[in-house]
Amino acid sequence: MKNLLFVIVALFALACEQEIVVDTTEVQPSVVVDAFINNLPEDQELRITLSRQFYDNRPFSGVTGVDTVYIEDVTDPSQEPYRFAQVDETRFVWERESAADSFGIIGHTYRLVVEIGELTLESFSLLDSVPTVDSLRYNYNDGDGFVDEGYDAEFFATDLIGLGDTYWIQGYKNGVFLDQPEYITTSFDGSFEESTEDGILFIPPLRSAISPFEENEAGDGIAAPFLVGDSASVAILSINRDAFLYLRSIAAQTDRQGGISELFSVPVTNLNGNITASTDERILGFFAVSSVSTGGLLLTEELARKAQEEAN
Amino acid sequence: MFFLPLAMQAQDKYTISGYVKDAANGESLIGATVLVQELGSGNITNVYGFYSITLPPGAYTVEFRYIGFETQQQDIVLDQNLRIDRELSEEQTALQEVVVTAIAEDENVTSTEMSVEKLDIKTIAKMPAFAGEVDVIKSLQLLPGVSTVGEGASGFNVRGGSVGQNLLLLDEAPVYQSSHLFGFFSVFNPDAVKDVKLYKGGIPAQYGGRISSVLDIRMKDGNKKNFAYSGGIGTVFGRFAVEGPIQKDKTSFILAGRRSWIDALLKPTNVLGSDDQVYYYDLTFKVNHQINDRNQLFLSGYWGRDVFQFEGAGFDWGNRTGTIRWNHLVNDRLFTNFSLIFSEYDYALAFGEEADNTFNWDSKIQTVEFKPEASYFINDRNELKFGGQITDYRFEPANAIGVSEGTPIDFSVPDKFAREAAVYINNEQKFADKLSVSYGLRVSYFDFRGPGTVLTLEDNDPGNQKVVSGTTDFEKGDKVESFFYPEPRIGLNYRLNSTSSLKASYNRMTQYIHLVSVTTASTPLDVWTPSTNNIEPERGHLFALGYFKNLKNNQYELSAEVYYREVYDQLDYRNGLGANDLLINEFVERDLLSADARAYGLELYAVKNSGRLSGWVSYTLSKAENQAEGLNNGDWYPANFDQRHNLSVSAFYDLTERIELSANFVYATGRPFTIQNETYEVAGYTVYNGEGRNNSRINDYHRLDLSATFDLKTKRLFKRDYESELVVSLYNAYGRQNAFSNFISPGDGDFGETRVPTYNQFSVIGFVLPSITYNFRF
Repeated sequence: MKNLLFVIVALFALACEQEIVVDTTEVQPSVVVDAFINNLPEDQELRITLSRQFYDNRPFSGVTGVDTVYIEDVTDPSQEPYRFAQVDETRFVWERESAADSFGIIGHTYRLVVEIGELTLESFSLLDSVPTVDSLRYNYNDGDGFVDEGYDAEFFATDLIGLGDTYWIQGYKNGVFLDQPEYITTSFDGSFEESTEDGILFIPPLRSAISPFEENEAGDGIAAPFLVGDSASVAILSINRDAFLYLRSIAAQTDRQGGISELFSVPVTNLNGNITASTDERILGFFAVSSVSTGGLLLTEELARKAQEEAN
Repeated sequence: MFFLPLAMQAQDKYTISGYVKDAANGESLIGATVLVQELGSGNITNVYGFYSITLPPGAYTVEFRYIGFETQQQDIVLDQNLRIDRELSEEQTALQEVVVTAIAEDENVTSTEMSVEKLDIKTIAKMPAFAGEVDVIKSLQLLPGVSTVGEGASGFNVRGGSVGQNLLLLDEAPVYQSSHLFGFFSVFNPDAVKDVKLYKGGIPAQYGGRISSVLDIRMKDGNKKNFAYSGGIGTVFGRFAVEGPIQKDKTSFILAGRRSWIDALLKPTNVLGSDDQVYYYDLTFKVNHQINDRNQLFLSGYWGRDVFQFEGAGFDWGNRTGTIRWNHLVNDRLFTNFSLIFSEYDYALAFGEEADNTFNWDSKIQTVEFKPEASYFINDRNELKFGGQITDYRFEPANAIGVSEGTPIDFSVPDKFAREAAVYINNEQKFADKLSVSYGLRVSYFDFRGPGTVLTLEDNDPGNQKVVSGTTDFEKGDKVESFFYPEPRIGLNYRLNSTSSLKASYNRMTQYIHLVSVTTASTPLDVWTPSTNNIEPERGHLFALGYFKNLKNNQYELSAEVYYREVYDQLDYRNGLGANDLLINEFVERDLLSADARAYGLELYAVKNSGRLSGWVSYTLSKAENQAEGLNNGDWYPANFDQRHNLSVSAFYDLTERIELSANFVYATGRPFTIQNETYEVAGYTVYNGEGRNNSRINDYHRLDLSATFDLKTKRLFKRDYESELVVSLYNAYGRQNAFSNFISPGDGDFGETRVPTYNQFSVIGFVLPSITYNFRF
């Protein structure tokens, strides 16, 4: 689809785009809770910041007077809460006691609590299970089209049995997360959208969503996603339905490619977060707990040769 | 039933009736005036060119007039029913004058119709056009009360209504998607179009099913006298049309086709691969056959398609319509027509180069419709119209089959079925010399039926996705939900004097099918969906009041109208949806909202009908707002296409006998957009927040288009006169970069790099677009 649009843009290179400055009214900053927690054997971090003016390019400032931040197990209240300690102006970290520790128990619901003076913020999230990544594969591209000669990566995994599983699929190249909004990839039961299909192999566009497609240096096409020596990896995160919708709305709001695709863009709207406050103060942000499975593959000469052979 | 008592009351009268046609080609003339001089009143020919006037016996002089044609007179002695068919010839003037509106000269003042725009196809053809391609829909956007969200956008907006609230009829067949190339061109081939009429209000009772407007496009019948060939080549399309008699004066046909030729141009280059395809085309045809004096048959059809195919990805879409009509004159005063109509819109996408991993997806709406209608010309003071309509709908939201490593997976969304029925009656009555009233009632019924599975939805937080709390299965033919609405229609004309009148109208309209379109401009992927247990029909009320005045023997027409429009349960969408979120989505109803809408405005219109310089000025002052629980804190907010001011000027000037110049100028207030003045980070992404929906506006829009038509010398070719012309035009003549949208661009930077977001303005056409078109006729 992207290629299709690319050609249409090329054919009708009539459009143009220019930067403008809009009148932004003064913003009353709001508290933002950014808490995406996972069960990898790592320390967990969340951020509490203040929102700012669009044209203010200073770093986000922290919220003064944050007293307590913890996540408690709602399913089993006897579990010790995960207490987060402030490490700088905006960051709060839960440190593991041992290297083998990780966050949470699958199937349990967690409650995030943030206390700022009289104000208490809370949010709930269920730690769901996640399918394992079975394998990764490289596919050869001969460079005839818009993408330079090279390889793209594909992972294989099968949706868990039972309807209603939602996932966030993250791609990495050489260990660097594809962190731009155009790479946000979510899945419902192994496909894009909720349906009655269940337990399927993740569908092809999702499988290959872990490859970066960036403009090449010549500026006349798309650089090869992977070349020999590169490595691709994938992380599948279990997310709840509200997080699935939230990530999709982040993509809808921020992934604006511009150009002729503007005709078919959606008028922008605000995000509906899931943090509630004890007062009627407006709180932004989101809390989600995820279990994670990962996989990776180095593109060796041999794999490259195999991919070329398969393509022929 | 209705007319029996009235028929009896009119026994001692006689009827003059017949058809008015163009002498050159036998095309029926729609809206020609048949005037009885002694009474100063008469009748206007209907869409088939038929008229009927019933009068007491006596001697009369009857005048047949049609603007741009020579008036004919006939003295008659009415002592029996008379059938008078007339053929009028085009006026021969020294300079070929442009006829702006091919309507009776003072019809705008005399008829009860208001809020109606008529454009003659000859006028449309002379206007400077985008890429030089004559376009019915783009031309309408220069008329009062009609606007668009921007260049390249599909469809049009009427009086604050959305694109999906317009009923587009091509020879009575509904057209569900009006665009080629995503909206840059409309699907109607101007070579086959005879008459274009847009009802923005005062919609007659015979029309229903959409709440904003009705665009009634009538195709040419085909030349009944001689074979004629016409065509042309422009920047985008090559066109050819042939028409002629199959049996002289009895049976004729027209076949008109267009095809884009960009692919032919690109073939020698490397832009297109060997399997790549880019083209769009349409074919329009019509056959009509006069069985006898009282019976006539019409068969018309349309077939259009856009095809894009690149590197294992394909996308194509198009409409198909077919109409069979039978005109039957029961007697001199009772004209009936029976139409059987088929219409279909579909699109298909295919992805995947290797057979083991493919994705094929298509979607369709299909309707079959039967429409009997009758006009009963009771006497010179009453014209009764009545009829009905029954439509069967089949919706195929998505048939989607994916193949993943050789295993097929079915993602199809089940089909939906519905039936719509309506009956109507309307009388147009002249009460006194000064007052005429058109009053009628349409009663419509809609039935959402099985087979299918319907959702029970729970409202949670308004504005968020609703929760499916249950499903129910229905068998074929089971009624799931039905709706019934009376739709009164009334129009009033009070003649102030012979050249001016006051008019008022009220309409109630109901719309049972909805275009699900979340994007700024409607896309070919948008899907129609019926009213269901979760989606209410959209209902609209429209009030309009107008003053109409003609000057200098109808050379100038002036009008001023104010309108107020109120809509209930208009389709809207929850926050945070992406452009593709509602496609291949079985649970789409979770994401839909019911909104209320209101719009009001003032429309001023001045037309100069004839002379060396002709044209019009149109100005609209308007406001359109929506309100829905869960959006914008439940407060009213400007609709996406709300424009405060909209001015357009169209002018035509005969420079010499062979050169004609024309110009359009458009000025419109920028459309609203939402400034997001606040930013924050979540999940590693920079996101935004704005206060209030559509809280600001993009820059005002203005554009000048110019064109010159050079009439080339007539040559003799194969013993025929070969006429041709060259049209040179400049679209956006001073090259303004008009904004289509303002949006936050994420900024440059690959993954892992920091981007600095900026506000960007996107312009569809940011420069002067010249074009040349060559047209011929022989």
